[in-house]
Amino acid sequence: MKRIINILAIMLMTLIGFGQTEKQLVPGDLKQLTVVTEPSTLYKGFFRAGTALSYGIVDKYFTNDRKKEYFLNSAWATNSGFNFIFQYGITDRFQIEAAVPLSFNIRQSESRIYVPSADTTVEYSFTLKSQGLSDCYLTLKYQILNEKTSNTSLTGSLDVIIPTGTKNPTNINGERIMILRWATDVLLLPEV
Amino acid sequence: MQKRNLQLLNNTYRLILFLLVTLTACEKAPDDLKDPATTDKWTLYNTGTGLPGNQVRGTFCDSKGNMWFAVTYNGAAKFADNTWTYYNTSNSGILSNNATCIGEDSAGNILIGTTNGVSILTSSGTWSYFRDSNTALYITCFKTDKDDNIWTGTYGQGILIFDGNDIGQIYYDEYKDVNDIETDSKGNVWVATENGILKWDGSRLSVMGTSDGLPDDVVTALYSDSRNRLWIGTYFGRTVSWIDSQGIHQLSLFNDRIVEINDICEDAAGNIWFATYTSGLIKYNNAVPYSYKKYNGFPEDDVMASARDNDGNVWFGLYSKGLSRYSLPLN
Amino acid sequence: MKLNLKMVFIIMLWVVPFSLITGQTEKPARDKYTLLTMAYNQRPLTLYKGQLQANAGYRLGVRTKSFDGTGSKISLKENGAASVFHTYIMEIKYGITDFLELGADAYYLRNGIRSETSSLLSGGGTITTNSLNEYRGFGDITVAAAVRVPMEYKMWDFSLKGAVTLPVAEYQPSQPTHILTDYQSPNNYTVNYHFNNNNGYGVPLYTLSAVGKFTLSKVSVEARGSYRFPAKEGESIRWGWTLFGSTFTYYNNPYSYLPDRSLSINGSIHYQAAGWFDIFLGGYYLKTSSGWTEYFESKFANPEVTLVTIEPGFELQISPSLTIYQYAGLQLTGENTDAPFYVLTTISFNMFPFWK
Repeated sequence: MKRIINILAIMLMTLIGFGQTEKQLVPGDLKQLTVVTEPSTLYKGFFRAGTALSYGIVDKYFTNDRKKEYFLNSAWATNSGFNFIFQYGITDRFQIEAAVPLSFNIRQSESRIYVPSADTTVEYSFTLKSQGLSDCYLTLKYQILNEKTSNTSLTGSLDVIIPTGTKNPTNINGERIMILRWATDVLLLPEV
Repeated sequence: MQKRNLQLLNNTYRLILFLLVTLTACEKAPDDLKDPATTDKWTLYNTGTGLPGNQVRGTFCDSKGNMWFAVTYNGAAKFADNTWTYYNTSNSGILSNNATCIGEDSAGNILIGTTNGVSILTSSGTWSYFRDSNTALYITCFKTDKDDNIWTGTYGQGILIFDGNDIGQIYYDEYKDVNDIETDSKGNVWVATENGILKWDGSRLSVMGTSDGLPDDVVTALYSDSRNRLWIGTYFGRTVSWIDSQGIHQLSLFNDRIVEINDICEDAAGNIWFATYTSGLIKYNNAVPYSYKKYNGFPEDDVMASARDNDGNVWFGLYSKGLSRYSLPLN
Repeated sequence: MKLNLKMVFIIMLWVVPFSLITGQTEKPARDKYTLLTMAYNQRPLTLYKGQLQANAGYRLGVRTKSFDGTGSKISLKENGAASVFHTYIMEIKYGITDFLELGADAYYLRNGIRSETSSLLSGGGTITTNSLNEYRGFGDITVAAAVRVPMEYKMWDFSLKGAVTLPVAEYQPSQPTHILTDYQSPNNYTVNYHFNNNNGYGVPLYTLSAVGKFTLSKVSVEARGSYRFPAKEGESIRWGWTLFGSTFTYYNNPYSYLPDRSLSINGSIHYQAAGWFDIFLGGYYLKTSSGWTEYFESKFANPEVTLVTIEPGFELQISPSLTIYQYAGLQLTGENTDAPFYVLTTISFNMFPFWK
């Protein structure tokens, strides 16, 4: 009997104990790397996929006096894009990245011309659209200096722009070319 | 404690309800507010809507805000409080159905010019007239000067001036045909004739012609606007002119083409309207002219008269399509 | 012995489930960290005593459609009148007690509305006009006080708020800055109208609001009603101009006006997906009436505006002091108003400056 009471008491205390110790979690408690603390290339074997949405409106321009002014006419332009991005760490220092962009751009302006002598009104509407798959990017990134040894990271990247977008039909002389681009990033990382 | 809290809650609900009812009860707008949906609209009046004729060659707004129209061969029409009243020889004491122009004296009597003299309608509703027993007086325009003299323009008889007691006449053979009369802010009287402009400054009569900067000698319209500019329209000029404190200036409405001006007025927003023969209506917003012709929806290209009322409307008498009213946009 | 066993068993049956419930819902201690990290579904409608909150927001609005008087949508892009507006919002609030909060907010707005280019072609000349109607500047400052029910927040809450919008910002339009370009002859030039407007109301406005909130586990529902009305009529000016040669001269005329009264109702449903992440879907209804503006010496009623908007969004707690809110506005229906799509992003900074 005594044994049963003891067992039950222990169970009860355990339950209460566990019940009382659940704690509210906040992001600061988690020991995870953020965009500030993570290295410039993914660790070996890590895969990351993401999407990015961009939207921009053009209704101003920079004048010769470096001032930002509205377009004087009714011109209106929007640039929107939806990107799929894939990154894979081949080694701790070497990362490969592919970006597949979809873009939706539009330029338009409206005007009206009155010609009283000819008893005519002409409504003039200009629209330029580009929609669909744009040129894809393939990026190779190599971390020349690793942040583990010092708080500085030096990374070189090589972009290959693959002409997957539809060629501009008015550019009959232009060729669809592959573009290579080199960039170097320097990161100063905080103490972790 | 719980009971007190419930009581507080109940009181809070009651207060909110009271406030909402009180505040929403004040929603009713004042009765004198006008509807913005009635603005920026063109309205056409013609024989189909009850107007006695389709040619309107005189438009005038009296001191009470009523609009008067001279309907050729059909007498005069009055638009007041959204009601039309028509005056012809069979229902009133008007001298002739061939009305040409409308004016008003300082006592508020309406002067209706005809091809045979002047009919006068007093504010009490009685009619009288003035005519010449020897010759038909073709009245073209009226203007009351700062001394309450009524200047009356005629075709062929020069200018008649009524000072309340006597009638005087200014007659010069080359200035016998008068198209319009206007006064400026300084009290000068300007007379548009088929041979230039006569100007009366209170003591002296002077003449102005093409040598003084007028685009043409056949001056058909004069208008003194709210910015103290005297606008001058002609029949064969390639520009319209305006005179201000700095002199005479020219404005080309249609790329140096001849534009025959019939009438000029200013609307409540400060735009200047030119009623023309064959070029429709031209609105000048003090920077750029705008054209209103048949091709862009205006009823007719021949506009004979123009005037504004006190409610933000501009009225245009047309050659054969009746009367057009434009309620100005709110912007 | 048997009786004791029975008693123990009965007690166990009662105590164990009860301890599971109460034990798992540890009542948070009243320390700074707990209050700052309180999730939305557990947070009252006003700030805690001693809590200071500073909010900085940015709203990007794209104005490409508008509703006419019959509720039909008009494409502003096709009329050359599409525009973008940028609003920068600043707000500061302080909890005097757990049931009383004071606050103030202000904003800066920039919006440039252009119109269709118009040309008059006659013979050898073309007169072209372009128009830009710009709104730029600070809006009026609003000061507010909010009280809530004097009870600890558990499942429901209610608060009342009174605010005054003080007419400190510029409200009369500034002189236009029209320019003449491409001048070749009296019949060959371009006029670029540029109107400069300000964002103040010019008269004080009063606002009364009531808010209710109800929470059941992770789901909360919040409803708010606000009524705003002007204190008095105001007087402003309209600009006119004259072009002489290539120079514009300006003049102005006064006019009187009365701002609209407005009634707005917000409703939102929140889901506390995690302690630091709350997503919500809101609806917003606006109705204005009773305002007027003087034109041509007559008072014209301001068109009555109706607008229904849906607002999905989220709240993300980045740190105990820093929270980010973001929501988008999609216009469903309306009358006599613009139908902009907008995204509002607010960063909220919270602290207890006097709490050691």
